[in-house]
Amino acid sequence: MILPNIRPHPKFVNVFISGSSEKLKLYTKNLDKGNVIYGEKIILKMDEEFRLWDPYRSKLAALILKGAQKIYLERKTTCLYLGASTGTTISHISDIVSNGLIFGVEISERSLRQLIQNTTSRKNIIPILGNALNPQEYSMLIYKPVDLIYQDVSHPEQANIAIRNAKLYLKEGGKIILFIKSQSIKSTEKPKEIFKNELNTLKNADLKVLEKISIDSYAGGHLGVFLEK
Amino acid sequence: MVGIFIIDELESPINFQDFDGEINKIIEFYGLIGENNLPQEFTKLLEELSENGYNEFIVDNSNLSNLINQNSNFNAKHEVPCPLIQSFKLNLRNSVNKYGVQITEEQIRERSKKLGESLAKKSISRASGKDDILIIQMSNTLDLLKKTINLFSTRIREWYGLHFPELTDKIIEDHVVFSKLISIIGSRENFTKENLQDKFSFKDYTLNEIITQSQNSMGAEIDLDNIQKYADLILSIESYRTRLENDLDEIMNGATPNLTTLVGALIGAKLVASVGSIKKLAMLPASTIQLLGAERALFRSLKSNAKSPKHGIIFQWHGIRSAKPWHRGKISRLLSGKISIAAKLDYFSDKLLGDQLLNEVNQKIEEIKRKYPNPPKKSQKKSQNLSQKKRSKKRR
Ligand SMILES: C[S@@+](CC[C@H](N)C(=O)[O-])C[C@H]1O[C@@H](n2cnc3c(N)ncnc32)[C@H](O)[C@@H]1O
Repeated sequence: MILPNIRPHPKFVNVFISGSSEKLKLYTKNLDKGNVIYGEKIILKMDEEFRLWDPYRSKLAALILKGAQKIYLERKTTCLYLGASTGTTISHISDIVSNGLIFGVEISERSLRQLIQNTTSRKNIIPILGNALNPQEYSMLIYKPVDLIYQDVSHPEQANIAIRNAKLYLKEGGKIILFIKSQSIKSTEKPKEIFKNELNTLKNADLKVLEKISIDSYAGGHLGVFLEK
Repeated sequence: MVGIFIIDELESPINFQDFDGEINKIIEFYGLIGENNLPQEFTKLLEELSENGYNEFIVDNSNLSNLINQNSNFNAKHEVPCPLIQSFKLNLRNSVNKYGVQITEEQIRERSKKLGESLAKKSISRASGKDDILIIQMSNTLDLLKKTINLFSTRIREWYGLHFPELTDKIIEDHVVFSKLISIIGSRENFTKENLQDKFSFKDYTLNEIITQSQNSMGAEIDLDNIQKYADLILSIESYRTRLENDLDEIMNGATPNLTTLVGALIGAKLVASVGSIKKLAMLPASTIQLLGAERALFRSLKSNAKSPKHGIIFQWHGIRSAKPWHRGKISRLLSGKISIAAKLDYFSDKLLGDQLLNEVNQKIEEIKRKYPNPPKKSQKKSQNLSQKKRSKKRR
């Protein structure tokens, strides 16, 4: 078998790629060697494990493949992750912010239970059972302001969730990456209207829109939005 | 995470109560507040504060402010977000340093991870009651749907039999396939090779059998329209049943991962439903689990001296169903023991050992097969005699 030629991503720290630009594959270096989270493929190379990062399973991978200019993740970034689910994307972020920290909030007990099991040896993930719409609920666990809020919650009030969490926990100048799904808000409205309304609410709360990227081809109906506080 | 800290408006320290870095104390503290009890640490602090002439303060936890107002002379205002408290918490390390509490970044991180995990687990075991109700309702509904499909199918076989009596349950055993044939193909003239191969995947033998029988059928020409509608109804019940089964599977995997890995979601759910909750199942001894769902048979055997039943719900497990009759008792004892362990793991811990338990069961089954290859003719009689003796003793 020919091993893929894995090399660092030209722009993003701790993100790796293989293949040509049309068939680019993404990887992160496994921080928790010997463990996989969602059955992802692992490539062994020079004592390192590279976990294949599936853009159909993880919207952040989709954003990168769709040409995001920045993902605001450095080795020491502190991140608040809303909608952590069972740990698919958060585990890749954990690989990237190898000396940083991620507070992972999830409302579903079942999912969080899975997440805890999957990531208990990853020191940089703090699991939090809570409702992202009431960020005060988990204030006893968040002991540091965060550089980035990553929000992927299946909840109608995307803008409100982002605004409330940013107010309590995000540094001045900190960034938000969030996803708006056209159907998740009100099924009767047209997708365009939905995006517009949510974006307006965000702008009115003094959050600046930096970039918008559709990841429709990977996650149907989803728009990724980058914001700044 | 570190302790209870009191600050004044100018962010200068007033008083504090350390948790001494003991994670259990911290978890207990939040547990108590959650259950509406004022933790001891807090009462102590309040006493000291009142000695110093304070009588009013702000907290950012609504439970806590209620508790304080109810249980003391203090006026505790609930304010969120309170910028002062928020900035204290978000600079935790520096903040507590002002009180002389030394703690490293690493220690804080470890504590918050442990606390996060513990709070989540605590709430999970408390909340598992929510799943119980869902599991019971879904399991009972699935049971009824299955019975309904059987009942409806018996009827449709008879009705359609007027037209194509040769398509018996010997050829098409599966009720759903039978209804599909009626719905999609309908009239026996349409039972051609192309039609059948297009929508179904029968083995060659069955395929030829159906075609031959359809060509030589003795059935009558009748209007099939209503029968086909009836078949559609059965198929739509079936499709709902599959959907419900998938949902149940997901819930069971979350609520009782060990039990579900061991015996599957359907049997697992039936066990839960028959006793009322995961908790109750986790408390039962293996010998009772073995008989769950066989209560009727057990009762009958007590009344009429019939042979006492060896298996209840767990009899539906493929490993017992497919076993030789003289192995079944042993396997069901073995399995109910493991079920009891799995349920305890599911309710009292977070460990995932279902695969291991299943492996152990399968290994032991192989052993049983090896040890007892032949039916135990004599010993069976013996045991019957024995039990008769016992009974006659009782009668005396
Ligand atoms: C699409 S999934 C997230 C997938 C995850 N980001 C990943 O890629 O691995 C959305 C998650 O949001 C969670 N969620 C929904 N409402 C929430 C709320 N109010 N607070 C926190 N999480 C919520 C759901 O339970 C679900 O796990």
